[in-house]
Amino acid sequence: MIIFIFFMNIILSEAIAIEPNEILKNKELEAQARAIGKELRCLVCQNEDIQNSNADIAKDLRKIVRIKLEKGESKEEIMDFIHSKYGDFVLFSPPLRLDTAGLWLLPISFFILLTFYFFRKR
Amino acid sequence: MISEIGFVFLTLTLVISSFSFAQLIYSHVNSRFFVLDHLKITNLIFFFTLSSFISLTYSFLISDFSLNVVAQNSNSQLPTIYKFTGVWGNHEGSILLWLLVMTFFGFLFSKNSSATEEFKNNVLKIQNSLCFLVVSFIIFTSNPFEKSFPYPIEGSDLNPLLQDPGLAIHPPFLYLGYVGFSIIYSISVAALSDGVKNYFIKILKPWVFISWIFLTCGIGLGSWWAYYELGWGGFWFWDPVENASLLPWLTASALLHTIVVADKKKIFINWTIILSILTFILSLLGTFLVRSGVLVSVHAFANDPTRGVYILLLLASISFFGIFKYVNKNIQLRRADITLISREGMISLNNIFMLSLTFTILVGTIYPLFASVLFNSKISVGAPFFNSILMPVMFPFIAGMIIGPYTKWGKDDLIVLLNRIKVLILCFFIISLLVWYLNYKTPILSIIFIALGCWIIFSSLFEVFQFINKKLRVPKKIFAQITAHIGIGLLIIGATGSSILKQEKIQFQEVGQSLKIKNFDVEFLGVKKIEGPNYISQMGVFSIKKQGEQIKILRPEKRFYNAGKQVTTEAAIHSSIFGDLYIAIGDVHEDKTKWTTRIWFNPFTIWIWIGVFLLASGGSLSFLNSLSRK
Repeated sequence: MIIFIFFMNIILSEAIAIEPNEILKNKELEAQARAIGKELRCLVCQNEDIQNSNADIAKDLRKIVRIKLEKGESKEEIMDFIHSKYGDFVLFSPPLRLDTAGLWLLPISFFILLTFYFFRKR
Repeated sequence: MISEIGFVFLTLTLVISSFSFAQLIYSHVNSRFFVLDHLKITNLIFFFTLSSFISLTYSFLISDFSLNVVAQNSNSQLPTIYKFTGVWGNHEGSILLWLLVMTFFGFLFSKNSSATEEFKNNVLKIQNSLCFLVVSFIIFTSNPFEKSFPYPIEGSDLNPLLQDPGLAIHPPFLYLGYVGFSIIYSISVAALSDGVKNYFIKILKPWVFISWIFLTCGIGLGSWWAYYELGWGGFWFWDPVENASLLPWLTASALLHTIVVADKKKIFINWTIILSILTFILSLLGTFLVRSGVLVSVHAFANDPTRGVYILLLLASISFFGIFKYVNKNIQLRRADITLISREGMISLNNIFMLSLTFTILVGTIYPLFASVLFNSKISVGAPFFNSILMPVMFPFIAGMIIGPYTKWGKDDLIVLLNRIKVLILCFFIISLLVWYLNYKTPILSIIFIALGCWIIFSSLFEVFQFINKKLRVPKKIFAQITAHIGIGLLIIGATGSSILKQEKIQFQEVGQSLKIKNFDVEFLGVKKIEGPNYISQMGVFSIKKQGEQIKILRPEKRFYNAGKQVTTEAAIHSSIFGDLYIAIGDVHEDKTKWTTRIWFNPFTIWIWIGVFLLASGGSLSFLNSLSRK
């Protein structure tokens, strides 16, 4: 836990996250921007989404998301654009592929095994 | 001088604990040539480690900058309390605290357990050996008494984020929990060599509760700190380090439930041992993940690879030893078939979900590492992934939690069971409608989770009602369970409120300007410059009004620490049972009359902390109960 604090230190020592002038007037679009922001990683931070990071790259990504939303792009289009530009690392919930399948398959198989362990008959 | 003495004590700990270790390794050698009293060794290493820890503390208090850790993590202007807590505000000191707690648990066990002398000796042999491994790690890779010459006249600073009471006290709590599991490991492994006699469950029980209570408090304090210090009102981030503390907490919670069955019905004995060993392994794994820095690469924190390798070896050998002993236990334990609709079945369900959740979080935490090594792909796993897994698991889990206490031991029937709780089910409908009626404008997910939280609380209260109705006193055991379950219900409501139902106002606020949030008027009165002992602070002053009447002045701060040139935010919070008004102050606007202010209303947040408190209270009741029923 202590080290957690050491990590947080570089990230959070500055002011926090979204600035007043970034917020969109349109409440619905802003809510969408927030939802997208929560799923994108601030690339230079330790486990922080772009929503709550003050790093420049997070700021830029927040702007990109908002500009594109105002142009009328959908969440999927924006996510695809950012994914293609920055790679898998930017997504907090990785895409389902052969190399990431274990992320879902391992827990599910563990769950099945455990259920079997408890409720097997002699 | 004092610090040299500290190092001598540490070396003595190493030497003396090595005797226990040697006997554990060469246990096949005829013990007539090698008779050892492990109880005495336990007492000695506890006092040696304590003396060593006291000398380190003394060095911090007198600011002895000839010690590297003191020079790097303290300075002479630091308030005394933070000089003191600075002892564990760094890698070396915190591992020494880890060792102290480990020897302390051995010491407590030697004094207070009802076990026979022979069994005690076996347990302490293992516990002392664990201490040997940790103390060797300290001396060879993380010696807190390391010196440099010439030494600096002034130290750098303790990390400003650590200069906070909430944070300063939470590591000892976490460690009492984490490391408390070492004695559970020792007892279980000793029981395996002993033929798993029935009495071992009774010996094990209080230690499970006490460690769990401390870990619960530690995690609670940690997230409470995150809530008020990080400045945006979050309290859980699915950070690898948080996950590391959650893993042993989940398995220990599973163990709490299992051990009750094991004690009462003499089944699940196998599983109790597996969980005990696993819980300690996960505590160590957490330490490995955190200390070695394998999970994180972009940090200001200098990671020493030898430390990582050492902990990995330690982890591997302790896990291997536990598993080896388990596989070679030489006895067949009783196993009964379990039906789902029964108390045993419900507790199995609890364990299945708790363990699956543990495994999922573990996989999610270390998968990025594996993916980069095996497939050379760089992926992130964060809050959206964990939340998407947690959500669906919550429903059957909560259902089991509600039904569980109403099921009968052995075999129960679903229809009979539903008939037994029909009044309760009717109440659930009414509660759900009420929750929906009060919150119909809010997202559906929040309504569902708040209703579920209320269900848990209500079904627990209904248990009490049933006893009163029959003119019976509520048994202590049931009372503990009810307290803890109500805690979980409150936790769910609090977490839902403060994540989904949060309201925010982020703006440039002019001095004198008043803003409305929820039913509060927040007037910005201005900013003061304050000088603290080792920092300068910009303190915003806000007048909080309700229906035109001032109810409170809130003073959020932004602090600039002199020595490390770092900035921290100190949020100001007005708590009530309906929610927290949470204010953080940012920078001044270019035109010098406006400031960035962030104001949140976080509904029900206080219930999170009350929930954690009830969890710990329920645990404490069980703990006291397990002591008195020896």
